[in-house]
Amino acid sequence: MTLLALACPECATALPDAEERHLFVCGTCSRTWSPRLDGRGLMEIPRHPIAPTRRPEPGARVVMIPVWNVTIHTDLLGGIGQSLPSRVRVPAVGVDRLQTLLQFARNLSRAPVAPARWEGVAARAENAELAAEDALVLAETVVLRHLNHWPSDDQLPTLEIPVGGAHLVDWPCAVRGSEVIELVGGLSVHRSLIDGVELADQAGTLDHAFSAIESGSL
Amino acid sequence: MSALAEGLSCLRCGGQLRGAEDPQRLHCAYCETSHLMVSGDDVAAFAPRRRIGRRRAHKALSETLKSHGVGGLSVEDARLAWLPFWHVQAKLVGWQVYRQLIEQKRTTTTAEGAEIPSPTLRHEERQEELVARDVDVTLPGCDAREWGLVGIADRLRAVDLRPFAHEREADRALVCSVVVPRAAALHQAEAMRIAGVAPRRATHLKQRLSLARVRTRLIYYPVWKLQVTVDGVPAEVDVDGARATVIRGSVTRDVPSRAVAWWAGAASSGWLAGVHPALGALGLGAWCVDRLHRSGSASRAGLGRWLSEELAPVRSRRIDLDG
Repeated sequence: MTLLALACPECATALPDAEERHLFVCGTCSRTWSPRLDGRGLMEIPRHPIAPTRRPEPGARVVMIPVWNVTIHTDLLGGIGQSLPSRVRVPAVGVDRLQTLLQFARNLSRAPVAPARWEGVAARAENAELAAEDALVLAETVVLRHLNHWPSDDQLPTLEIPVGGAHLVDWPCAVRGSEVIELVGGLSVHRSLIDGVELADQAGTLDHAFSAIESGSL
Repeated sequence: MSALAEGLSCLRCGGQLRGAEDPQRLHCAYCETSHLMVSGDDVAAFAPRRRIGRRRAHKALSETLKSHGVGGLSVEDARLAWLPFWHVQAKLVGWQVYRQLIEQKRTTTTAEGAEIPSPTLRHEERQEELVARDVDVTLPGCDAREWGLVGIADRLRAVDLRPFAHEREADRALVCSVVVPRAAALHQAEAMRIAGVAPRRATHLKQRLSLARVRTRLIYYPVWKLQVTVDGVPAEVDVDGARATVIRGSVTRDVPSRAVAWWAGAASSGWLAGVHPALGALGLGAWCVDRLHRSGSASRAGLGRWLSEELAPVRSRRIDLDG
């Protein structure tokens, strides 16, 4: 067993910690770290923000929800692969409300959006409750429901889903009333998904970047 | 949890580390840096922060016996054992499909307006169900049944944990070896939970369930094994070493029934007195029972009840006196 000091390997700032957390975000340089499997230090988890396609409504809180973007090798599934999304997006918060999380993951994955990287934006990266390997398990659950006419009952326990890698992205969302509305496809989910999750309101810091959406420079 | 983490210093400033709610985390009181205990290929092991000593175990047994009206306790020997348990926490997620029998009760109305029951309609419906449930189980890592324990989930609820110092404890007590591998414990936890998600009366069940967010750790649980005599009867009692409650007890040799002894004594007396042995036994046995009843010996009667209810091997059901 190894004792690991939670300090940013890049800038030496102490990493904010919480129970059950396995990804740590540096408050100074915004890098995300995870303990290496062998326990001999921290490794960086690459992540980037996703560009919104719409502005939040006035007065809404703007939060960046961490989302695992999981690749599905649909070409390996033959005919049924044609109805599958090649990317499954699993929110990395709200694990205690797993059904809501899976519902949002399903909607996010089905949405006909092509998220692009939000370049030049200093959005604050939030902590993720889910590790990559857990995101793969949830992605498989989401994909099964996407299959054309559902796999046959006999196939269900054994059908192999060719799940690829998982990449962490920050998805811009607006919180208003009892709803969380994601700002890429305009989908909404009940606010209970993020209840109890510490997500900073970034409306002020991102206001300038949102202005660029209107001016069409995005 | 305010106790100091034993012997561990901050890797950045050398300050004393303090424990946190999560036993895998430690915090420096000086520079406020958090520390994570990373297991790598090893498994993190924990134990209750406080355990009772021999005297407290003796007292716990004595109080339990007193509550049953039994006295005359003498402790011959006491040994502390640390029993390993796998603690598995996870989310069980996936799909299940099954057929369920739906019963529809019907009534028909007669010409007079009275309602009479008609034959119940039964048909099968196919159900598709999303499963998303918590898994939080403890499973024995050794043969814990010898100590009367199967799982310790209930016992852990009110207990603070600390890292388990294996070598130090092994010098002072028996530390049982882990004989159930982690993979087997995970498999068992998954099987237990999966078995619980299938609805009643479901047929043609097909499941695709996986464990996500799996956390496994070892928890060493203390149990005192006391060799005692209770009113002259030798017995072995296991006492929960964290919560000071009696887990179970058993007599260590067959105790001849007092009634049989009385009948044998009465028969001998009758034969010596020249009376037919059966009649003598009957009379003297009745007298003995009457005397015992009249004397109202709470201790003996209580012991008999305690033995028969909790210690007697012929009724060796597991007991839980916590309630």
